[in-house]
Amino acid sequence: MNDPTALTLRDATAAIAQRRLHAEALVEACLDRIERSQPTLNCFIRVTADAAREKARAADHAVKDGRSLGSLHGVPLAHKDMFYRAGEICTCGSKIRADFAPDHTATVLTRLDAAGAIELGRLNMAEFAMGPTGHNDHFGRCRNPWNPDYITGGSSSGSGAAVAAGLAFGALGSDTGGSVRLPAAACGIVGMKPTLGRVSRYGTMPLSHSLDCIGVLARNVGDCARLFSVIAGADAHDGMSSRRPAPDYERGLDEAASPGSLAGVTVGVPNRYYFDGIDPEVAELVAASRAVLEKRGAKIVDVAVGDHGAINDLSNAILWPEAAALHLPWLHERPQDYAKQSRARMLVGLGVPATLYAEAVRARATLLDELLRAAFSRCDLLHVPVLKRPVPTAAETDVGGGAAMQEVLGQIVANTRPFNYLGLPGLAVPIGFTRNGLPQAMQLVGRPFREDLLFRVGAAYEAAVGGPAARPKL
Amino acid sequence: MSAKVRDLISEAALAAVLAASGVTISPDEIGPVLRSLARIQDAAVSLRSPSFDDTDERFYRLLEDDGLGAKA
Repeated sequence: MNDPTALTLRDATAAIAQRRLHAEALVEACLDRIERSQPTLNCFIRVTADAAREKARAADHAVKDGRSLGSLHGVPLAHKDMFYRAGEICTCGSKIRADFAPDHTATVLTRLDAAGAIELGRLNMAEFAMGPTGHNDHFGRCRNPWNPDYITGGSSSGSGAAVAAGLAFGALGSDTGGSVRLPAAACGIVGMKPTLGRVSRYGTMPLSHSLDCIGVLARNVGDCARLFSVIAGADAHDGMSSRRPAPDYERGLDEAASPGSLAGVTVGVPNRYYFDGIDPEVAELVAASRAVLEKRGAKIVDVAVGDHGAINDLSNAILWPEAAALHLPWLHERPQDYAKQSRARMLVGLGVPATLYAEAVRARATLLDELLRAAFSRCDLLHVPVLKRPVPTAAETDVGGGAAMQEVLGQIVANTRPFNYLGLPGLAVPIGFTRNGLPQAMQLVGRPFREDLLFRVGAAYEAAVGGPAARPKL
Repeated sequence: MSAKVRDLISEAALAAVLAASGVTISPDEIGPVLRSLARIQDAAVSLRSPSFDDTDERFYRLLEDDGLGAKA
């Protein structure tokens, strides 16, 4: 096999199971790409090559013995450095946790391990998952594999860049305001931010307990669905995880590839906010993606939504007080060890009155109810862009903690953050490139716990346009 | 939401609140925080107030129940 890293995750597992490919060879191929790309892309905080090789050998032995380790048998993955593994350093992208070794393992890692996945190492991320661009003052900026001058999106910056560059077949990320969907969109891959409570957060770094979701990034919809099937579902260790059984999210994806597969699906286009001030180039790509869904049989309707710009702003009344409360001891004792931007954002949290925080929390029921009644009574999912403008350069967004911070960062998360506030699932799917050569994505947003439908619609789109785009050259 | 929350924060009050947190803050950091808070407050004022009986629990129940009731 010429370059096994060019396979899809699902094809790679099949090839390993059929002994056409050794897990060890696949891991070596990924490690080679990691080594070659690291000076340019800076995706990894730590590579665990020896442990990966050992697991790969075990995976190959298992195949030889006729044993299947699971749906991810022998697949190399890498994860944002915020998922705890007992006894192993987990920096959270920070100086403060440079030596932190947790005493327990995240449920999502336990599940991926049990399914036979192999971890290659830990990926770069925004400090404590607080930034949407990919900048990191401690580990250096993670760079976009389509053009290193541009941002990867964040906070799961390494997850987006590493998967897009073919360094790993998939990655875990977290999404509190867009941190899975933004890097997926900016790097041209698929990213799932689930319904709040769908995926366990046990053993993961918290940022805002009311908003945090654990998601996955992969090169195509089918691969993303497979990973998601492994991590989704109730967890006795996480009292906030939903007890609803999780379906097999791969089911129906092959059928979704057939023409007319979206007959009976109604796609809603919000009548305000999500397209306000959109760049014409991005608008054209988004309209074209909608037309593809329509051609596959979906009905397109305009739907009314409330003031989601205000919801976007209001989510800050939850996010930053919760983050500031978590970080207060370190803000006291180690203020110099935070990047200026992280510190500046948490200061907002210190100033939010308790009554405003409580109102913002209580208003979620009202505003979700309103959206379900007004929009989702008329459609099965919403279709909006992830970003309203082409992916910006790193220089354009290098605002530190200065006066321009709020506006620049606010523009990036404008279309993702409202759905964290509302707890709804969102799938970012690549839809082409703008003239700067950087990817763009549509965001499919579903009713609670309808990740299955989002995967199905995403798969139908992908099949209609001939699959995901070619990988960027290393 | 209640417009009264707007009155809760002035620059001086904010400086006092931030100082009370025990976190060392320089005077030039107050302005950006105040602007962010004003934006949050504007958002809160413009959105529909939650009813007396709306709670955090209702939000989570709505997520769960809607998921159960959604058509396949």
